[in-house]
Amino acid sequence: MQSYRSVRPAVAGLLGCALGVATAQAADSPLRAGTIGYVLTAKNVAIWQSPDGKVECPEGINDGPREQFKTLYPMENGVRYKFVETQLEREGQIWNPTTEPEPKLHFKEAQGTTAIGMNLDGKVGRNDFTSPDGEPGIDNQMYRVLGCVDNYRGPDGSYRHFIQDYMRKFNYNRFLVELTNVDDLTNDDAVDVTLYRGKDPLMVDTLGAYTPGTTHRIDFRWGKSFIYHLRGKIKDGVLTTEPSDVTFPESQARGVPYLSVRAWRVKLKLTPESAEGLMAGYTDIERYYNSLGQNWSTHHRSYGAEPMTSEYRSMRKNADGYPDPKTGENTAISMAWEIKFVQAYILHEERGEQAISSVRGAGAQTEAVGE
Amino acid sequence: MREIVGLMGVLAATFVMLPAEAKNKQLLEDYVREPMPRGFKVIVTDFEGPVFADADGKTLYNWPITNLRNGDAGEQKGKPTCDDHKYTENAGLMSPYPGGLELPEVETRPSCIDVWPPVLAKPNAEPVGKWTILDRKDGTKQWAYDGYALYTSVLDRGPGDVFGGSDLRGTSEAGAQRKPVGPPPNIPPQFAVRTVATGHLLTIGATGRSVYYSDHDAPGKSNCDLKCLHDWLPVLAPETVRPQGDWSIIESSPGVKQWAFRKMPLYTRALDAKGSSLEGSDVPGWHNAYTQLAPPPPEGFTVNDTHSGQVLGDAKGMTIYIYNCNDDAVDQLACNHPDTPQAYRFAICGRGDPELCLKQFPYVIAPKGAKSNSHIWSTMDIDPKTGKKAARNASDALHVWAYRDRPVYYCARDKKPGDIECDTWGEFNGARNGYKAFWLRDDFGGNAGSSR
Repeated sequence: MQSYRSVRPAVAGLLGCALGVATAQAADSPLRAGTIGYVLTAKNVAIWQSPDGKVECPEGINDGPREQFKTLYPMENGVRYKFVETQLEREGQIWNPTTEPEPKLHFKEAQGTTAIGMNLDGKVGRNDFTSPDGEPGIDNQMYRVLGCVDNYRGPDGSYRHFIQDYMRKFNYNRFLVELTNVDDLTNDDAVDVTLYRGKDPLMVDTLGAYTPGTTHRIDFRWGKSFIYHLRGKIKDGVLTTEPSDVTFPESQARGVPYLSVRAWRVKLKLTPESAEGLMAGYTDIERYYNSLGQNWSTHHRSYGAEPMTSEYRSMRKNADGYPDPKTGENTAISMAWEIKFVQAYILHEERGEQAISSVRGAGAQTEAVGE
Repeated sequence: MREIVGLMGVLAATFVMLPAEAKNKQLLEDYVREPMPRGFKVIVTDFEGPVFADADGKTLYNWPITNLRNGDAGEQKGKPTCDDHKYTENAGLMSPYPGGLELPEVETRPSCIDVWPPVLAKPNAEPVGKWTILDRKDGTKQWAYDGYALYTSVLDRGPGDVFGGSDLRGTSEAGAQRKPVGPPPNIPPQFAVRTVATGHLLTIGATGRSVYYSDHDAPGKSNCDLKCLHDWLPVLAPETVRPQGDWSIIESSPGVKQWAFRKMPLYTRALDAKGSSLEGSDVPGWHNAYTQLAPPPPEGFTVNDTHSGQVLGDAKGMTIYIYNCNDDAVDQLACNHPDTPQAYRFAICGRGDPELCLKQFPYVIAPKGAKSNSHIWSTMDIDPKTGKKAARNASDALHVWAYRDRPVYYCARDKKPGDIECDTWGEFNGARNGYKAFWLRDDFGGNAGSSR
């Protein structure tokens, strides 16, 4: 915090490192001195879909804001509505949600026993799913909430389109992962994993494919709260990390919100050029819900028929982690994302390691700088 | 003509003030002296810079047509539409909601000209330069500038007030808004001025790139050596250009002419990746150049880092929020002022419950006797139950800080300095009926008037 009247340039300047410097030095392997970096190029909420959608959504896809409005306020018999009792009533509910029933609205949760995700608690519970490749104990209750919302379903859900669009366009979302102390990219029982927010654009080739080997600067100026130092291991070419609480930026360019995920971890198939797999954890419900509204206006959510107030009730009903000490109600819900990276050279313009909080013992929670 | 009314320069220097200039007064933007009709003048206001004003000193505004989600609103050149019709229903311009809904406080809803009185021309008035005269449907004649009909705002009480609208760049999601109208800045053709939260930022017109100056230079002399020139590119002046006003030319190396503003040599920054960047000001000794700085907030407010830039905070660093609202009628009247219906804000901050609003978005209380040195910051008394201005000496009134004559707020979800939990909170991401943090700088999100 600075006095408004005394603000002075506070951060050391750039070192004049132009993009592409490291790329020009690329040797045979991007794993250098035990270090390799990746930049996120794709992120989608993990939604398992049966061929015709009937298994998980036997009642069909959910109504969105436009359809719900028509249900609540039918334009028939010459009835005249008031702005306060309709549009403002709906927006008031959106921005101040409750768990009170919505008797006139019917929300369709995803059914069945199959879901993409990870076993977050190491148990096989009654409400858990089985993964498409047969792994039991999958914790992904958010799939119940979002599985039958058109916004998130492939191949053309609006969210899926826009999150990719803004992944590329909006540097705010730049998500970097750097692995250090790597002896072998196939098997290594102890590697260090650091998350950063970058500040440079994604590069694509002439076919539109993301290009490995580009250089990304770390955002030490504003992105300190997104820096996390985790422990991981690589087995048979798959990186897994120990659970840690993290926040990461997620914006559809309408604001600068973020998500907060408890016990977050990744499971990524690594190659020298790319990484692909899952990230999962327990998403803080209030932050997820607020971020949804901050990113997507009611107009924008209407593209993908996303009914926020109904989702809120479903999130609270299906919440399965981190009970509030006072009320006992769960505050977080298990969730998974499918993610893709390409290899990137991460440029440490300023050695910001002093700003990175250290891991305090195996399995300990990390804390963000500045938090 | 330059006239400062009600703003005497006692503003302390801030982080972007040119060092070669006086420390104890706000530097004001120079403007092009254009011919104008008798009875009008230019007032250099503390945030918007030079604006046209009528004989009473009231700022002039226009209402340019704006493309909204379900149609256009505003006025085309030469076609004033703001009239005495009192709209009772919304127009359905805000997707996804339909039109035909009865507007809040419909019984007392003013007409467009109740809120935006047209600037009428006398029968014998003659057009001058860009000033022309339009015929209104009611048979009267109205002044226009650059083709757009001119209005004053009932929110402006005296000379120097610009409470009806702002030139600070927002999004069309905010509705079709009125803009203050003024003369162009007096700058060489290769430059442009962009209004951002911290002032009138000087940029390169063709590229939008920010323009900087350095403490390492001296007035009229560049000390940028070869290493410096790697990162900082002199803004070259054409061979035939002549100095004028704040603008001069130095010969930074033999045969190379470089622009100087208020005597300081100007540069762009090689590493700036987007227009209107403030990133170069993070380099010690380097500063963005402004033609005019925004007036600082009253004593005690602070600047706080977020994960995307900087926001204004109170003395403890807690983020300050602005409430935005434009209604959905054809005439697009503002609903973010205490004199306008509060139903919009109450819906967003508390599901229609004023008590919940007070908990979730508390007012920023001003100390007794608190004073502002600018027009743009003030204090007012608010009735917490209605959200409207309180009656004089009302016992339960709250004495609150106001920006642009509207109260500012906290977000109860914020727990520490720099938290912006309620930014983009409300309809159309807080731009149309909702809250936005008081951004001073945003390196990513396009807030504070910057590029994205």
